[in-house]
This record gives sequence, structure tokens and C-alpha cells, in this order.
Amino acid sequence: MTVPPEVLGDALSRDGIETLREGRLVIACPRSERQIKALLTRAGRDGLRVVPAGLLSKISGLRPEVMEGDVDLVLSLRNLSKVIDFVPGDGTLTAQAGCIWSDLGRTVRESGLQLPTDMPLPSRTTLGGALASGMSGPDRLRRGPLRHHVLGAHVILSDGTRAKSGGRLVKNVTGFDLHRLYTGSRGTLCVLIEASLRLFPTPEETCALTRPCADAAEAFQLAEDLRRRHVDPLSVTIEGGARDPWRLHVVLVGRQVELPSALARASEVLGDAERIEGADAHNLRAELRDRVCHGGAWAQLRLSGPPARTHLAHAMLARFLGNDPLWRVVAQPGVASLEVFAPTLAAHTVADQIALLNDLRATLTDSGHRLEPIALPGATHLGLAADLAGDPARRWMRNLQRRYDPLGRFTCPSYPGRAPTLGATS
Amino acid sequence: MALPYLEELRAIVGDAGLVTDRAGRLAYESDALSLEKQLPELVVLPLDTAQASAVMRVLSKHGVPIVPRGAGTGLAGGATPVAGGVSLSTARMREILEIDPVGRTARVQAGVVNAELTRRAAPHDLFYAPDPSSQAACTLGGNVANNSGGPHCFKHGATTRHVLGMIVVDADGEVIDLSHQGPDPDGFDLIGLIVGSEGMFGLVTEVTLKLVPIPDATETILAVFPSLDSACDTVTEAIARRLEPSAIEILDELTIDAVERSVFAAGYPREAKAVLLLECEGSAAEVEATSADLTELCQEHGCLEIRTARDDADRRRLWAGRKGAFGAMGRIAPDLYVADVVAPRTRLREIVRIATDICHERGLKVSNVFHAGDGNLHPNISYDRRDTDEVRRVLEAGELIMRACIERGGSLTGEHGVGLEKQEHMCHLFDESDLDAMRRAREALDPDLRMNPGKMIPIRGCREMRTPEPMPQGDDR
Amino acid sequence: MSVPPTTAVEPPMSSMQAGVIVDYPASLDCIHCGLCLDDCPTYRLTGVEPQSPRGRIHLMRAVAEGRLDPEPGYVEAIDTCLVCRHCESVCPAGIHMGQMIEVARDGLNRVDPPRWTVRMARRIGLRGLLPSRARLSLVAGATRMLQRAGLTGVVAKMLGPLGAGLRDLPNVPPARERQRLPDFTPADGPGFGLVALHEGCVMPQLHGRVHRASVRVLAAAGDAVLGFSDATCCGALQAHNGDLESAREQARRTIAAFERKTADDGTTPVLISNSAGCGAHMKEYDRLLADDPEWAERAKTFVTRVQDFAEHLAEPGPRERLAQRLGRTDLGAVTYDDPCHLCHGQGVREQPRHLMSDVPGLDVVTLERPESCCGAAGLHALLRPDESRTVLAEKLRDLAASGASVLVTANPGCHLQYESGLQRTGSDVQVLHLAELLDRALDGAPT
Repeated sequence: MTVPPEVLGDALSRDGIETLREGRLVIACPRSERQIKALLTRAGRDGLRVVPAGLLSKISGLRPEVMEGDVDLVLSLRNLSKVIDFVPGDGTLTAQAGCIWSDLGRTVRESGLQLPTDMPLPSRTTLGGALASGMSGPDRLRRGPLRHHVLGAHVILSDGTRAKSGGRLVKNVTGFDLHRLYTGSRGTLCVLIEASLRLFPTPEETCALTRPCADAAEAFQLAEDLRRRHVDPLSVTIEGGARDPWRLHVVLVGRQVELPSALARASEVLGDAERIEGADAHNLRAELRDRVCHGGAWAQLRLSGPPARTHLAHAMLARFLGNDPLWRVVAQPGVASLEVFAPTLAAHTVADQIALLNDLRATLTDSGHRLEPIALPGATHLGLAADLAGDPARRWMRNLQRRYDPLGRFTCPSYPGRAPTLGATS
Repeated sequence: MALPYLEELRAIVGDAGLVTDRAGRLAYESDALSLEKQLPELVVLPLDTAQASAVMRVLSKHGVPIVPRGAGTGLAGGATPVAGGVSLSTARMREILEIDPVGRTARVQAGVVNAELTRRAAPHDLFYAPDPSSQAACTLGGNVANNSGGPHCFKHGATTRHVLGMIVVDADGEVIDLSHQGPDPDGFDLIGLIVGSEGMFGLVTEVTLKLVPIPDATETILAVFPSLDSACDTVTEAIARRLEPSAIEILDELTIDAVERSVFAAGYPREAKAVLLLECEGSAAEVEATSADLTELCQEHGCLEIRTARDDADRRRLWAGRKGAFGAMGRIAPDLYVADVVAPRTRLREIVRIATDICHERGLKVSNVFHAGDGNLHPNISYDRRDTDEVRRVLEAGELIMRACIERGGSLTGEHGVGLEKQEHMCHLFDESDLDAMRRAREALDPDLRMNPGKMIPIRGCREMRTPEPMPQGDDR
Repeated sequence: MSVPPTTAVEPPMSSMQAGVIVDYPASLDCIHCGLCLDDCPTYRLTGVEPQSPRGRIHLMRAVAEGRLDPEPGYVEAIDTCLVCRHCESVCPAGIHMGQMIEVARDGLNRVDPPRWTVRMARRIGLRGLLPSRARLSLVAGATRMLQRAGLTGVVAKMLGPLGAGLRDLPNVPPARERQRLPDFTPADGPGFGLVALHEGCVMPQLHGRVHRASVRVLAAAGDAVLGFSDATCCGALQAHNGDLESAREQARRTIAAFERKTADDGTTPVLISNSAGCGAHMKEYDRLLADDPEWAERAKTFVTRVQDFAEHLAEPGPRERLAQRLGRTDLGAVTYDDPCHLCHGQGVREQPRHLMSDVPGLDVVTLERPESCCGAAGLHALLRPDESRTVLAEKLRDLAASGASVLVTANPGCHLQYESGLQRTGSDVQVLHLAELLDRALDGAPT
């Protein structure tokens, strides 16, 4: 069923809920837990499809049906933006889901701490959005993904119940780690309203080495050499493409006393690399963080797999995209992910996209890699997801969704591979 | 007694994969929490994923409950058998399937012993970081089930941060292959959910684990303190100053005494009221700088003496004392109640003191040995199970310590898990709707509730067990 | 957590009482932590709890508490233990597994006598044969004849299951190598001390060369050496197999014989054992005879005089004197495997290694898991040959990985086990007793 946006917005406003309109989208911005529950009640009664969100910056890549207007209501948590508990001595932060990532970063910086990951587009990302997206920054090479540093969460389930898991402690094994399940669930299980994070000490020093490479193969080889020599950088990024030269960036952090030796070891591997220090190094770190959103647009594809075989996946990809004059790659070799910008791909019809990507997927399986569509039409997502429906792991995920959201209010046809007919309300 | 499914199982695992006689089964009646006992109907020991899946299909057909078991070193009764159920042991699944030195990963069967992996990774200059005290015997599958910790988890994180992939068999014998996960999960983070789920979603048969490079330099520091308070304060301050050693452990007087009388005698000074065991690892320069900072900090807090172990033999000795500490308590009294609470690291001293007072008020002997850097306390109460009144006082003290922790923002368990031991205490920390969310996950993945039933989630509703607090009510329906 | 039930049956508190079949007080030391599991050879082999130290103790306790009858499953658990005592070395609560198994086996022999064939075999072997040098010599001679005639296979078949081990028996050396040691061998050079070398039962028949090497090495280190063969067997095999009565008898005979070695001026020699199993057992005579009023004190005095061969030689005086006599010997890569009853039973770990490091230019390589059992385990290799070989297989893999061409040990059981295992797999790695290695170095090129 489709509710005209103006009707929905007016109705919500009468309940005191702030509503925004963006094109065909109605975005409700509740100010309290009570309002969220009221919204969910209404959605349940009217059979509305709801997508929890923050500022929609990640949604645009991860849940295309939202941008295509194929949902009834976006539930934005942006008005729930209180820091609940920041304990510098314990290195933990608990905040409401609508807090802006960069604001939280400023809050903890004064105490010599950092958020656990360099989240891309931090000023356009909420805490809840960061968690729901499952994204992490390039610094995950050293620090691990964001989901490892979520200590606990409070959520509202589709029937309006509030439930918490974990806590605010850096070590805790009481109960299931449901907050890990919610992290990366893209709002398809529940509404995340509050979360606790582990913080990291701000490193004394940051510096970087950056170096042009003859081709992708050289860049990947150097990255592997660094790894073999047990250089332990904060991040390693490779970028390049059909028209862009290939570059390798290595960011190193640490105590003042140890950095020279780390730099020396990295330089031995990298040879003639440009050394960047001070404010410039911080700027580079920030730029690399946002590389996955090149020119304001998300990559079309993401490939991921075993770190030792990233170069193989890349070689496969290069052969496959050879015809695209604009293709470009941002790779994090140590953590084995490749963001692929292939604008020409977007010009194909959905059917062609699905056929093409299924072919690519088949080729990549040999190197143990997985292909995930990002900034492509919802129908392409759906087409590629349908293929996975038989996988027992998908069955588990669907069962979880069904049990958490029996009425299918948070339904997303393409994620995580739900069979299209299930829970659809229109 | 003839089990209707026995011969079907024998056809799958053979005689060597079954323990059927009463004496044999009796040896499985408890894990390391020996207060809880239940004789299993049968013990099955499959050799690999295929056998486990076939066994679980048969058990599914007959509706038999399944309790997964690794080495049975768990301290919370997570592997205690259930009445009418089968214990499914991974003890014969001990192959290391692959070590990838470049990717720094290891693929192992669930029954591989934790320390064995570190031993086998050493030639590649790698090690497996989580190091629970039972690492010489506990299995990696068991570590996954309990999200096990250990001293070095202060720097490297508990098990969950080291699991990259796994194969899990569900209650009906279906194989869920999560072994080719990239840096991010494909869909939901099922691995994050399964790690620490105490065997309640399925049997993990294979795990892909992250290995960590052996650091260039390692230094272990033993700082001797005139009081437990000053040792605790030193740790709180080290965290606040954001110093980053790889492990921060505290042992108190009574523990030191027990360790020094055991086979693990480490040369801890007997006259110390508390010692702080610190380890720094990294590049030589980093280790030197961090170690200097820590030494200074200890001295500021009135530490009496500092010893530094640089060579491997010395370091191993200092750590052997720490790892053998629980067992060494056997020398104080026949039985030991190992509490495993977590405190915010800013309140270490306060909570350790409260725990000590609670025990002393009840005439109980308490010793402390714990992962101070993570706020994970282990007040250990020595007792004799044949003294019924003492047992009552121990349990009362245990409960009060947990409550005191929770009131101050702490938690029930930091690494041992909930199992049977802390099941009822879950209600102190979670309310009915929190537990209901956990039940939903369980019902989604094991609708018949046959995997390790009756563990972790309280069976009775929490409202029956405590005075309800006003709870926000969901207003639909 | 619920309140544990208090035990209904109050078990007896002394292990040596009549009718007691389990060392209940000792079993209470176990805190069920499981740290012993992965170091237990039978647990590693089978993966089952009743074949682990923790499981065995749990079952002993259950029997003592009346929760379990000594049924076949229990007997199996107690029988399969190799008594390697590795668990004792890793047990944080300090259990005494060796002692507990001996008591449990003794108890089983009393409440549930084994089949008459087994009983006969044990009676002949443990009571008739081992304590008598003359009879052992006779059997050794007969075996040598069979081996030379190529008839061992035939006789083994005739003996049925009991003969299974016969095929694996090493070649018995000729009679001249099976002779007694001289009553007195003076120190080779200035004399400093007096020792008696315990000859034992099986060793003189199969490893006379080790004894003679031991005497030469001890003499080179400045000790006068007495031969000590008066009591023949120390009783270790009897105790391990649960015949505590015979074991006590052998202990009394040994103590009495040793007391006769006391010189008129009251000086007693140090009793040296070059067999780890015998040494470990003799060092525990005090516990074995604790309830015997006539012998308890004499046993206490006796145990203070017992030392392992390496333990004695690694003491500052002998070590220094011996080191001066050692020269180069070209053996290739050498590795040392700790006999269980030396490292776990006696805590002797560093001493043999120190002595090896004193041999100039010796290329010593490390062996993985040197303290794990080779599967010889007294009579185990004879009684359960298949299991014993599986346990050994893991050791042979580690040995191959070490790259050593010589394996050094310090116990006859391990020595024979390795020799037969290496022979079966066609390996040319040589097995030497520590005494033999040092003896060769005595003849080595001066440095």
C-alpha cells in the first residue's frame, strides 16, 4: 500500500513529531522514545514500510529503495542526539543514536581519545547510521572494524519494546552479543536508539608515506611486502584506475619514540616514498577516510575476501572492467576490501547489470572473493540477492528478521537476501 | 537402557566416537564447575563437520537435546549435561587445517587446544592472542562459545575480535558455512552473534582465526605493592593516562602465597600485599618508553620494588604463576568459588574493597587475582563443600558481589560466561524485555530449543524473581 | 547456582585401610579444572574424559562416595593410565596421580580379581621372575636362543595375546654382557665419593652395556662405585600394576640390602639409579611403607640416599671433574627426550641437559614436547602394543622434525620403546642412554 506523503506527514505532525519531506520521501524525526513507539504503532496499524535512518548519507548507497522512494516512511533518529555517558578514565562513550559522528569525535578529543574508527563522511553520519551501515574506516587495518568496539546497545523492536544488550564495559560476556547482530543490519531488525563504544587513545604522532606505483600489481606487491615485514601501520590504501595513476598510501601512528623505527622499516620496503608529517599527515588520514565516497558518490561495487588474495581479485576485476574508461579502485589490501567505481556500469539496464555482475561474481569465487552491489539500483540489488536465497546462512538471517519483525515493518527485499515475497506489504 | 538412536549414531562415529557405559558418562557429568552435575544419556565425539552434521540430524529426528562440550574447562556450567540429553564433544576434532602466514589466519577444527595453535603458529612468527588461564587444555571451539578472554586481551581483545570465519551446524544438522567471510560479514554479523552464545545456536565445528605477529620486543614487569588499594589505583591511573601495555594483572597476598607453594612457583615476593604484573610489547623503542612510564607510575603509587623480566624463561615463569593461580588455590581449601565480575575501570579499588568486606563479614577467605586492565575481577572464595553453612555463605557473598558490581555500572561475567551458575542473576542486569530479545534470536535459530537448553537465559520470568521496576511499556496491542 | 548436596556416604579417610580401594583423601585435591587434559597421552589419543587424569580421579571419587561400582568402565579407566605422571607436573593443585593409580589398581586386584590367566601371568612375571636375578637370566638366555633360531614368532603365536609383545622384544645380548657388575670399582683418578649403582631386574639382561658405561662415567667423575644387585627388582612394576603387597616386599628387601652396604664407619654410599622408573619409585618408598611401623623410619632414611645418575653427576663437584674428562665425539645432531619418571616423577629436567652441554662441540637440537610420554610406560608397551605404538607415533614425528640423528634418554623402558619403534619405521636414528653418550665422550678427542 502507498500512503500519500502529505497525508502521512500531516498525521505525524499532529502527534508532535517533526516531519521533513525530501522528494517523495517522508522523513519523521521523533524527539523521544515515546514518539518512536507511537510511530511504530502507527506503521503497524497502517502496514507502512519503515526504514530507520540518521542523515541518510549511508542509506543512499546501502538501501537504494529508500532513495527510489520505495518505502513509506523514513524514521530519522537525528533528534535523539544526547551524549549519555562519557567516561574518559574508562575510555568509553555512550550516546544516543542521532549524535553526529564528528561531534562525538570532538567531545572525546579533549580527553586525548578518539572514536574507534575513521568513519567516512563523519559530519554527515550519525552514531546509529554508522553502526547500522556496518561501515568502518581504513584504520580498521590496525584497530579492527567498528563492530568490534560496540560494547552495548539499546534498541526499540518492531512491537515497540525497548531492549538492551551488552553494557558500557570494555569487557563483558553477559548474554548474547545482540548489539553485534544489530551492527550492520541496516535497520532491518530494529531501531537503534543508543550505543556504547570503546575509545582509543589519540596517538602521539601521525605520519604517512605515499608513493606512486607503475601499476596495480606493484602497489599490491608492496602492500604484501609491508605485511611480511610486520610493519604495523594504521592504514594502507591503494588507489588508481583507468585514467588515474596508481598510488600507495601508508599511514603510521604511534609514540614519538617508536615512529622513526617504524618509518625506517616501512621505507626499506617502499623505497622512494614521499614522507608526510604533522598537519598534512592528519589531512591525508582524513582524505583517505572519505575516499570510499569519491566525489560525493559511493562506489558501485565492493569486493572482499582473504587478504592474501586481494591482488588476484583485482586482476580479475581489471580484466572484467577493461572496457570502462572511467573505472577506478580504492583498495585496503590488509583488510581485503576493494571499492570499485565503475560509472559506466550504472548506464546499463538492470537486467544487463545483473547478468554482468553474476558473471563477475562467478569469476571471483575462485579467489574466495565476494561481490556486493552498493550504489546501483534497488532492482539490481534484489536481482543479485535472489541468487543467494538458498544459502543456509541466509535462511538464518531471514529467520532472525522474521522473529524480530514478524509484520515485516522494517522489511528490505534485497538485504540480507530475503526472498522477495516475504513480508512485502504492497 | 537402550537408546533408540544409539545404533544410528554408532554407524556414523563408530565405537571410538561414543561413550555409552555409566562410568564413562559419569566422567562427563560436569565441566570445571563441579557443583553442578547431571549424567548425560550418551557422549558423542564426531571427527569432523560431516559427522557432526549427521549426528545432529539423527538427534533432531529423535528430538534429543544437545549440549556441546569442548575440553570441559568452563567455570560456569555451560557444558553441564542436561537430563535426557546428549553431550556432543569436539575433543576428537583436533586438526589444524591450515595456517596462512601471509594472510595471518589459521583454520582449525573446534577441538584444537588454544596453546597448540600458538605453538604451531610460532615458526611463522605469529601467535594466537586470546590466552585464557586454561589455554593449555581449553579448546578453541570452547573459547568461541564463551568469548573467552585472558590477560593479553587487554591489548588484543577477547575471542570475538579474533574470529574471522566459522562453520556451525544447527540443531537439525544443517551446515551453516560462514568460513569465507571477508573483512565485513556477508549480511548480518552472525559470527558476532554466535561468539559468546554458549552453544545455544549450534555446534561450531571449524573456526578461522586471526593470528598476530610476535612482537619485536616484550618486557614483563612485576611491581610489588604495600596494599591492594595502591595496586588498584595504579591500574586506574594507567588507564586514565592511556598507557598501553599489553596486559595488566593483579595478584593479592593470599594468591601469591598459594602460587608460591605450587608447581607454578614464580618467585613472587611472599611479603608483598599485592603485585602488579604488566607486560609491554611492540617495537624495542615503544616497549622501552611504555615500560619507563609504567615504572614511574608504579613508583608514584608507592610501589616497593620493581622487577623486570626480559628473557623468555623469566617471563614464562612470571606468567606460569598467574595462569596456575586458580588451581593453586586448591592449597588453601578443597573448593574454590571463582567470581568473574566486571567493574568500570575507574572504580576498581572501590569494588575490590567491597568484595573483600562482603567476604570478611561472612568469615570467608577471599583472594584476588584478576585482569585489572579490563576491569575484570576475580574475587576467589576458598571453602569446603562438605561444610553446608560455609557453602551458603559463599553463595550469598557471590550474589552480593555481583549486585554491588551491577549497582556501580559493572556486569555479571567478564569471560567465564553465564551458563548455569549465573543464569538466575541475569535478572539483576537485564529486564524481561531485554531477555525477550535474546529469546527471539534463539527461537529464530533453534526453534525447538534443543541446543544447550536451560542455560544462560533464566527459565522463570525475571518478574517472579525480583521486585519489578517501573518499565516503559510498549503501547501497541 | 544451587547448593551442592552433601555426600550421603562418608567415605573412609585413610587410603591404606583394609577394604578401601581408592585413595579418597588424595582424590579430593583435584579441583576439576582440566588443565591436565592435553598433557595426558591417553586423552590425546582417545579424546574421552574417562581416559584423562581428571576423569580418572572423578571416577575414583565416585567409587569412594558410593556413586559408582567398580564396574568394567571404571576398571578400563584405571587400567589404561600409563602412569607417566605428566599430569602431576601440570597440576596446579599438586595431585599425586602415580600414587592414586597404584592404590586404585591394588584395590581392584582385591575386590575384582582379574581372570586367572592374567593372574598367573602377573604372578609369574611380577612375583616369580622380576625379583630373581637367576630366573631372569634363565629367561633372557632362552629368549636369546629363540631369537637366534628365528623362532620368536612361533612361540609368540603359541602364547596367544600374552605373546604379542614377544615379537617386539629387543635382541638379547650374549651372556658375557649380562654379567654382574664388579662389587667395587675404584675412582678413575683421585677419589671423592662413594656410590652404589642399582642394577635392577631387566637392565642387566638387556642393557648391561649401559651399566658398564655408567660405572666408567661415575668413576671418571671421581666416585668409587659399588655394584648393587642384591635385591634385584625395586618393585616399581609391581606397584604400577597394583600389586602393592609385592611392591612393599621388594621395597623392604631393597632397603635391607642397601643398609648392608653401610661401611663399618657408618658412611653410606649414594644409591644411583640410571633407570628413571626405578629411581622415581625408590624415592617414594617412604610413602609406600608409611603405615608399616617397622619400616617407615628406615624407608625415610633410605630415600634420602637415592639419586638419579644425572642428578648426581650434575652436582657441582662431580660435574666439574667429569667435564674435564670429556672430549669431542662425532655423533651428529643429538636431542634429549625427558623420561616421564625423571621429569615428572623426580623433577630432574635441567641436569641431563647440563651434562650434555659439557660435551665439547656436541650439536644439541631441541625436541618438541620432550616431556610427553613415549608410550613405553612400564609393561604398557607389552600389554597394549597398539595403543603404545600410537602414542609413540607422535613422538617419532617430533623426533624426525628435530633433525636429530641420536636420541638420548635415561630410562630402559623408553630406550627399548624408541629402538623398536625406530626399527619398525626403518629410521636410522640411534638411541643412547645418557651414560653411553658421556662414556663415548670420555674416549673423545681432547679439546
